Amino acid sequence: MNTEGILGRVMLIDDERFDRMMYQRIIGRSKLAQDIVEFSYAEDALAYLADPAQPQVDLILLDINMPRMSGFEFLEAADAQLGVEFRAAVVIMLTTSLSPDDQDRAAGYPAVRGYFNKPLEQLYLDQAVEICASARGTAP
Amino acid sequence: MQIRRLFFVYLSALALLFASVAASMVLTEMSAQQLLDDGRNINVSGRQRMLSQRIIYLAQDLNVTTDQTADSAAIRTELLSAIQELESAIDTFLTSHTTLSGTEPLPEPRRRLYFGDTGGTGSLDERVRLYTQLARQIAADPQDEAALAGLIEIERAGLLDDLDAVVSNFEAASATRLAQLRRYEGYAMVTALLLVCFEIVFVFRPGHALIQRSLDNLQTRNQELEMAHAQLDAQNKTLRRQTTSLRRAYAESEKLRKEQADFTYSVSHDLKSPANTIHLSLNEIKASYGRDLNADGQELLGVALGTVRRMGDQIEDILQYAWATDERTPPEDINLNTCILNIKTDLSAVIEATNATVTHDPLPEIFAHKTQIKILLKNLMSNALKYHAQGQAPVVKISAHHLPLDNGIVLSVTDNGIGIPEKDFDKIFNLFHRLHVRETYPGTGLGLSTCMRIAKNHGGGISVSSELGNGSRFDVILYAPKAKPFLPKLEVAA
Repeated sequence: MNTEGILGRVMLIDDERFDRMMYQRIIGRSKLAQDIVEFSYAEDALAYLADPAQPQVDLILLDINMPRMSGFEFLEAADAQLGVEFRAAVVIMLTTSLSPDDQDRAAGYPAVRGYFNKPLEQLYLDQAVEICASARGTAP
Repeated sequence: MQIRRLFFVYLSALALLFASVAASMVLTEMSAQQLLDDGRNINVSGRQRMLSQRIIYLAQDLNVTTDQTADSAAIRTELLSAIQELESAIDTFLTSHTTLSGTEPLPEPRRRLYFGDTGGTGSLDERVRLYTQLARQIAADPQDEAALAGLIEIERAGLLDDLDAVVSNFEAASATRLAQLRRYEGYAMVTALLLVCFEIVFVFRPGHALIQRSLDNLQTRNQELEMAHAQLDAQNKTLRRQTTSLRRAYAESEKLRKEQADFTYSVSHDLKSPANTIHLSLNEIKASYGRDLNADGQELLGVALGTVRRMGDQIEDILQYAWATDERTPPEDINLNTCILNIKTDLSAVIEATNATVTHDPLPEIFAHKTQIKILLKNLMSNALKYHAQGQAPVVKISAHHLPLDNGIVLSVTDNGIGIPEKDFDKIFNLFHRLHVRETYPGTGLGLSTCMRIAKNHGGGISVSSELGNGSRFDVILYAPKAKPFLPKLEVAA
């Protein structure tokens, strides 16, 4: 089955430059994404999503601990600003936080479909494909 | 009713009772005196009546005796004695008459009796005087027939009746006065009785009730007090128990805190050595095979080296945080000026690189934990040097002032850097919280947490005043710690 570009446009939100670099490399190698946009501040990512001139994003990989606006604050703000449109989006948390509290809290947001612990591995990307497919209601 | 008012009423009633009893006694004394006076007057007037009779009899006897001319010596003697008696009777009669009719003021009825002309024969007073005058003439001359006829005339015209009327008048007046006095005495008795009744109804009974009520109240309150005392005792025991367990808990928590600090220290220490090994290995790879790697490989190696270096920094910071409030070394006197100069030496590379100006006012000497204060000031100064706009030379100033009300001191570190938005004032003190990505301003998010911990360990805190783009000022409040660690004040709910 041809999975090339199946994830569509992927958004990376992570304050760690090196982590973003590694995600780019791994996702690039897998050829699962059509396009990747990355942000070091969640505020900038939110502005991007709210801008109608920008193309639609299919998958968001979101860190939790970030300066200024944390991953959870981003989820709140996006929910409030973008509403239904955002609730239908596919967000996967990608974080070093091992806290079960964070995991429970993330599960409370309708847009959040998965919770991965860093570092990102090929295995997670396969799961991400499945998650995206079930969220869209189509088999991969 | 208040007991004082009741007491007042009781005393008043008692005074009235005594007054009425005293009045009654005075009245009794007065009536006795009156009786005595009246009795004497009645006696005198009665004797007067008797004397008038005697005078006329004697006068007649005298006349008869001299008439018969049988002059024996015995008759003569009798005559003389009769004259003497007549004289004396006249004297007494006149004296009594003067006394009884001359009393001023003389009641009107008696005045009328004495001086009123009732039967057209002259007043009683005139008649008495005429009567005695005629009697004297007879005494002087027993043969004076005209005088004797006058006497008899006066006698017949009702002298006796009029004198009787005087006696009756005295008796009636006495009876009236006595009746009046008796009535007053009756009133006094009734008043006294009423007062006694009043005291019983309005003073003794309510007083008794009041005292009974007060006693009951006292008894109830006594019981309540005893209960409260028992409760307090119980609470005291509970408190003592709680205090003991709190002391134990505090000791336990202190022990745990130390253990955790030790644990963090050993973990960090143990993490540091593999990090060093990785650092060394990566350095070796770079030295030996760096040239063989392509640009991508070299970039990855660079990132890896940078990361492992950062890891070392992070471990250092965690160590510092864990040991920030270690109190194994006692507090001491610190010269802040020397302290600042030392920190400036430590930070000289950064100061030179950024062309920064670091100044400080003359600073006081403080009593505090030296290592902690140095970490605190170094972190704040390092931040002040770090967070500045590109191309702008940092200007950092350290000042201090005493708080006027207590013996606290405020250390202020002011910079001309990028500033902090007000909404983030609280966040910056949170553990690992950062406002910038590492590429813009490197850091671990532990510096200000450590500073706050140290300030709180000195009984104070840190406040920020800042405006985005216009520099920041960090005010640290510090108090001199006690020379020995002390138990915290226990707050236990009653």
